[in-house]
Amino acid sequence: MNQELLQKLSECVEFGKINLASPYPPNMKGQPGADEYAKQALEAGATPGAILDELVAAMGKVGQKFSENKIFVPQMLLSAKAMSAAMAHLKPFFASGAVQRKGTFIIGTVFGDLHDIGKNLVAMMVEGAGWEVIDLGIDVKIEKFVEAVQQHPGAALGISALLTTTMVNIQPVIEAVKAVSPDTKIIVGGAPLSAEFAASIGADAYGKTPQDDIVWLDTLIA
Amino acid sequence: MQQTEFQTYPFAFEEVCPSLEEICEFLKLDPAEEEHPALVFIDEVLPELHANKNIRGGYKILPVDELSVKKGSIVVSEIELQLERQVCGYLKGSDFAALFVCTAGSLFTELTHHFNSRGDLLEAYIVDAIGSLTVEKAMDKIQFALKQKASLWQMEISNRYSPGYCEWHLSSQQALFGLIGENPSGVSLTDSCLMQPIKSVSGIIGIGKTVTRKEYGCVVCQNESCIYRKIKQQI
Repeated sequence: MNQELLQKLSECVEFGKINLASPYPPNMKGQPGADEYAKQALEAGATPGAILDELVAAMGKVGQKFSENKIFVPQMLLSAKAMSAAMAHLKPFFASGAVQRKGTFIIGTVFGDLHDIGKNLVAMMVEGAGWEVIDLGIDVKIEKFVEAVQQHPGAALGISALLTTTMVNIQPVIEAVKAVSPDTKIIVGGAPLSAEFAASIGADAYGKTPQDDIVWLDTLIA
Repeated sequence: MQQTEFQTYPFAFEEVCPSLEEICEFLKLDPAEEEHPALVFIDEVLPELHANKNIRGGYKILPVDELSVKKGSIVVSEIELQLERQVCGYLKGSDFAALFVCTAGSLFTELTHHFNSRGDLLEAYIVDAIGSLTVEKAMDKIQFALKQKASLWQMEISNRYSPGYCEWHLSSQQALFGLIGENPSGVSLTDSCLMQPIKSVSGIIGIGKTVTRKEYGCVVCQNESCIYRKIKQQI
């Protein structure tokens, strides 16, 4: 019974079926969505950890399909919405410590830059991969990055920039963070960046796609 | 053709509103999927966007003093713009340059922030996309008006090119805005050369008897990781 509910939950997230009221996708119209199946699974005795594992696996499939150009941004965001609806039922278990996330990931768009679509996509996919995400927003000053890293020891950090004029602002952030927390692992991303640039400014990794970030983050806890 | 002050073109949203097909093409949605939440939302939000009264843009025409493809630079009104070789090549034969700026106003950004703050990322993404399409459509109309003006002088115009694309460094925005000077578009630059409102475009169009219109956009840009290139590849 539990396995069947978890399977249905997984399908809802993969295909973006949010709840009973949502008419999309058409072949699932009138059926429960991620919201209802997560609730039912808990009531049927599924552990929060098992539900989280199912959500992570489903979002993993979504991320993979996006990386392979098999689905597009709107579909990915619908899946994220379905995941959020299911995740809402797990919040009390996160708060009580009954279920653990993989770790904490702090993310922000570097100061001078107001772009957030790429950063939001990464934040959403990393959360779906089982990480707690602290989103610092856009135009984030050095001090705010440093403060967040100090408040969340052991957290990994992601820094985004979309402009050639703002990607150079990432280096002083990395230097300031590493000065107070040398062990903090940092990944950078954004349209004008490259692996070479990331290495040249002292980043630990470069993420071209959200999936790259997830794969890299998972290596940190392997 | 002669030097002009900034020519302004104001637009009502309905004049430059992207069609459902254009929005769907951009977002890679099937317009036939009427119950898709994205399509339902587009239907809901478009009337709200008609309140946008701040879509405007225009250009200033200045003589080209010198253009060197080898140096990748163009001198306009004694000010040198470093466009890099690729864009300079596309402007070859220009006697005049139209320096343009156009904005779709701040409503798109305000709405995007509103939806993002509620965790409605899909809705935020759609509004952002409509904003991008709107400012480009407004600029299409301005470019068409310029083409007609040039034809009166038996001149052709190039495609439009913007800092940040095709190796033309974004830092050139400062010089570009310096040349454009005071104008009613209301677009300003941050220290990092980001335009405010965000849904704005600026750049250069070449004008001359031997100018030809070349391809632009993803076809000629080298940025392999750009999200817009990724979307276009999926179409």
